[in-house]
Amino acid sequence: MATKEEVLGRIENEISKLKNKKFNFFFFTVDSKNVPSGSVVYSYELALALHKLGYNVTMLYQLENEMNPKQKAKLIEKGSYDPMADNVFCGVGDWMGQEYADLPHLNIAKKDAWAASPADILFIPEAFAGLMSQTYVYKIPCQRYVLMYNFDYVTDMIPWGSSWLNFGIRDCITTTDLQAKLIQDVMPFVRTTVLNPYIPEYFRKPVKPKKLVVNVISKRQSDVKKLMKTFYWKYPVYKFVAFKDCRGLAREHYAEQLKDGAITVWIDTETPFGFGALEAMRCDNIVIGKIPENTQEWMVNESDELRDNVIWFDNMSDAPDILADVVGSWMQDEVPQLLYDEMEKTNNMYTKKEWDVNVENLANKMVETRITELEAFKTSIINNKEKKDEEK
Amino acid sequence: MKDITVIIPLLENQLDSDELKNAVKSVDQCQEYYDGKLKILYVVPTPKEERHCNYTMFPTNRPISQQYIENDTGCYDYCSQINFGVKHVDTEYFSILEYDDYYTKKWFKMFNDYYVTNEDVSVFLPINIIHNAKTNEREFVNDIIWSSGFANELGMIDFDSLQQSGSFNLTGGIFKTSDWLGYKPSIKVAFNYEYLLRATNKEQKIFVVPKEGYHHEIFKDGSLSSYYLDNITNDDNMKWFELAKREYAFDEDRNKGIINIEEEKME
Repeated sequence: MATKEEVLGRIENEISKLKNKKFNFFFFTVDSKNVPSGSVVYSYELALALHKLGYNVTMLYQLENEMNPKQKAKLIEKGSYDPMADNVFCGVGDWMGQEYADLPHLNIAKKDAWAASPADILFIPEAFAGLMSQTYVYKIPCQRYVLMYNFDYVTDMIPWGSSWLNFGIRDCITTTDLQAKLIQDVMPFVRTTVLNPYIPEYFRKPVKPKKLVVNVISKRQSDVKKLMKTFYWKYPVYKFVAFKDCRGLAREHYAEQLKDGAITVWIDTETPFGFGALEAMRCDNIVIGKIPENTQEWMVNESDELRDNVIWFDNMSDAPDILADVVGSWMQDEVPQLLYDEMEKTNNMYTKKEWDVNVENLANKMVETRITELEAFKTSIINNKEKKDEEK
Repeated sequence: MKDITVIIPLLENQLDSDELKNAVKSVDQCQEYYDGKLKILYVVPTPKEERHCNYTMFPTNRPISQQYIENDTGCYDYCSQINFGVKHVDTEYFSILEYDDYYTKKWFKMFNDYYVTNEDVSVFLPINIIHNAKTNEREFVNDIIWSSGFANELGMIDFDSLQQSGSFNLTGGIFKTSDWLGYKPSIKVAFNYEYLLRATNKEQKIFVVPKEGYHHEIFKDGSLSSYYLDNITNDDNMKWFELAKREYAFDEDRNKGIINIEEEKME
């Protein structure tokens, strides 16, 4: 058993690691298998920003029997390599970019593959209740934060009767005030920090003038089909209007597609943030949006009324009529200036500059909090020791 | 922004018409949204009686130069009038406005929005709104080029896309004067189509701006389209298009009528 002096020395060492950026930010992640997802984007963006601030960052994943580099090279040589195979970690390179794929990754499936120290900080996605539980049971010594992109995912895998309290989780980083409120409503013990996502700079006003192309952003193909078919049936005069389905595209390719088009129909009522609409607006698209279940800060004004930055609709059957109106106005250059003004205001929100500042502040705050905790622990040990010495 | 000459081909009986007044008014409105200078060039047949200096200069709210020129070639058909007019254009671009049609008020501004990144385009066409005077129906023309999968590049009329459709309208279009190839007056009905085939065959770029730019009246009593409707059978109509497909390869107008085609086939 370690002596108190040794323990104090270790704590001092951990504090020094924190002060000198010698600790690790660990992010538990899932393999997206090339399917773009907002939550994966959120965690990789945070990881990359921390990495650029000079912190050690490691992305953790769990994959049994992963193909080793030699096997992979052989298969590539034979031409039979399948990046979508079950034993391959596909990552985000193809759809987010090489910069993200190049972040250090570690497969923790093997025993003892990963170790954490008290100075380290681990981010666990909100859906991974199992991981919250395991890291608690095995007393992983690092500080744990839940990275909550969407409150809806929290209930997906958490066992009946459990809450984060059962896993010793008290800290949560989330995307918006609304998400923070949702989690605090049901788990009031959770300390939340809001870190708004940002819209990358490659979502920007295009240099070339717009094509008459309608982009459709929806998770469900049925929505896309429904919109297109009903539009053509009701408005055969607009049979020449081309639609583009934005599902499953690599991020920069998706941005290029948005830039090409003039109008975006956005159908994602369960969205926790509204990336699709914001990205489309940045690309100077007029957005026709189905009102989501939870309205976000950028969607409403001070009186909590929907802003005019998007042309809103409530019922799917109204979408073709609204789209026809917008196409008509756009073809006549008669889109109301108010819409463009509101879009401009919205486009000034969630910038990369703001994000960088917020991430730096967040990192500093997490480090300071951890140092304070370790200092307090150290003081309590010293006080205990002094008390015992006095008793002696 | 480019200065643009608007050519209005006229016949004697159209000179003081309300329709012409309306057409000029639309140019005047366009000037409000367009910083380049617009000027109007009326092409009239040489009058039987001297009426020089009696031509009407329509009042406009913005300073727009108006000039009449008399076509003394003896050929007063639509194509010859345009060809004559273009010879007198002194601006880098020109447009064609029929006396009973009109521009939408932002057409020249819309052109400029697309021109700035497409300077190599020879002809910018609007999406035209066609008013059918007989049925009172409205429809678009030139719009098909924006249909997914129709052309090699959305919005760009190329030789391949012209093999699929010939129904394009050049009125309201804005032409680069130096790239103008001239209409062939001997080709009836399909003279626009022949022009497009010839231009794309010479690898000129023809772009349809995806905006409503021009209102075009068809089948109005006394109009060219009405004459064609009444006097040209569907069969002959197709023959004119067939002729266009044979003639585009030649720069000059070879005056081959559709009767010649039949004769050639007989031989």
